[in-house]
Amino acid sequence: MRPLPYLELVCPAGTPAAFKAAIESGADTVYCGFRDETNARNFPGLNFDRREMGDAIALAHRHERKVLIAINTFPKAGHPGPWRQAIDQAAELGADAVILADIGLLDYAKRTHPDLRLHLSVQAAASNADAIAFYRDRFGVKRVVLPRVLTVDEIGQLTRAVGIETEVFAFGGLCVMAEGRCALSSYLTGTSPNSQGACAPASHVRYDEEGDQLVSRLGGVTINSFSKSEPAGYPTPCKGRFTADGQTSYLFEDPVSLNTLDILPALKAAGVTALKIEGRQRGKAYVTQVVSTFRAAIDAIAQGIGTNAPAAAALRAISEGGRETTGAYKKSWR
Amino acid sequence: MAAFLEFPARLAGLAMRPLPAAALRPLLELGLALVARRHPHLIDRLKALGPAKVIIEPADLPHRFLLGLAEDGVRLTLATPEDEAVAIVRGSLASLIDLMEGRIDGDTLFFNRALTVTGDTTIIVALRNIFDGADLDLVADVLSFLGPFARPAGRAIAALDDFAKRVEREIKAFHDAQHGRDVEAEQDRLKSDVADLKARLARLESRRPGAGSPA
Repeated sequence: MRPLPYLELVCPAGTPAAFKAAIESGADTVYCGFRDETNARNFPGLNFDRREMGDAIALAHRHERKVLIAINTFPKAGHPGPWRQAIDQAAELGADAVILADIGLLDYAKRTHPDLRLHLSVQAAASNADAIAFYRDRFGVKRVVLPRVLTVDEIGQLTRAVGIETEVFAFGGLCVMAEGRCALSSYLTGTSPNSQGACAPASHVRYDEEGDQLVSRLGGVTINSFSKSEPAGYPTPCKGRFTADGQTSYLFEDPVSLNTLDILPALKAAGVTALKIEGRQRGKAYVTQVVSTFRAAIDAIAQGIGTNAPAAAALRAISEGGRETTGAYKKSWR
Repeated sequence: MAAFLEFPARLAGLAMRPLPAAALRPLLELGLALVARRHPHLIDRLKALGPAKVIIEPADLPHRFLLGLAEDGVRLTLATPEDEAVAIVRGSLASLIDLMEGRIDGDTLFFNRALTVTGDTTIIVALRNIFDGADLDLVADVLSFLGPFARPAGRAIAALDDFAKRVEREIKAFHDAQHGRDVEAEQDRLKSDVADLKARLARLESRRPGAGSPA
């Protein structure tokens, strides 16, 4: 049995190859989803069929690592079948936990698979003690993935108040801060991450080279225009550059990646159990680089050595827009 | 053959540049057949994406390639100017090979503007994810053609790759040693410029109406 990690490193896998890369790079836990709309990374060519999921779980368990299956979209009204089937399959295949957001599915999982460990997805947007206590008491949720809206101090207070494990995002793409409730993508494409599992789905994205500019469009609406030397970002509505009052700017959010390498000891001190790396849609090269960097950083801190600054700087190259932030963890605005 | 081999990619680029279309066509067919033999699951997933045609455009080669995806098979041919495709992906040959082998993350290439995609984004995202998940190793796949000689040939290529990387490192070290002074001088110039600008800003601030007056 592996000893309890200093901070549990929870890593993404969009393909079996990325899953293997996560295990080899030092993930304590890997999270992934089935190849359908039951998870919030329902992208073409991504995710696991039942056989691949079974193989991945077997691989992880051989290495004494854990597997979490994300079933974190909200079922269509009156048609919970595929979501319930995904929970059944996760239980049958021996997943260590399922990550759920919908109250109906939490209820179904608790009633049907009482031994299946339940984690509350960030998509549930539970960001205060009362909300988390409800999920804890009603459904026996053991861990909550906190929305990216809280400071480190607030995470500490919340963790002490709720008495269950907290998992926070440590690296990767940022969402506009209304997780599970963001419908921006729906207005332009008719689909959203909450229901269909894809924000700004590829089917509605177009890139056009117009002169020296790369123009990204979503559902026919111009989202951004990048000059030749400018780093690009995702074509999601929240990362769009729009003109308002005669000024063109990132109205909602800059294209930038979260990076918490500098504040890992503070997160540990706040009582956080697990660090989540975002990026099931990213390739295995991303998984290898980010996971091995965080593995080394966590191990170094646990041994009192400190972090590896050059490795941390190298992550900037794989960040959206080539920039990083500590996001709300160190926020100075109110 | 899991090591990162740059040399074969460069060699392929150099070899393909002067090759006439007639000579390249059978090589593409053979290459795809060798990949298909070792990765049948990859081919099945590619077939399921069809019917569709995608143009692959290595920016540093005079050739463009047409990837045809259909229920009855996957084809890789040279693209003609008349060919129509649902999407075009463009990048350096090395980047495209890295992407196919999953050695680099597609989003990273996109963020850094090393990859351009036009047309149907769905098929490009699907291709990217399917290739990334396939654990492709083109050198090993091509060398598998040599049967029992694949292993010694692989060792020879790895040795050549190692040699090429060492030469590159030496050249870079020599270049850095030659230009190190220039970088330091440039840093000093920039520091001096910043100091000047700060001084000018302070002067302008002091001339602002009301500046320095008690609130």
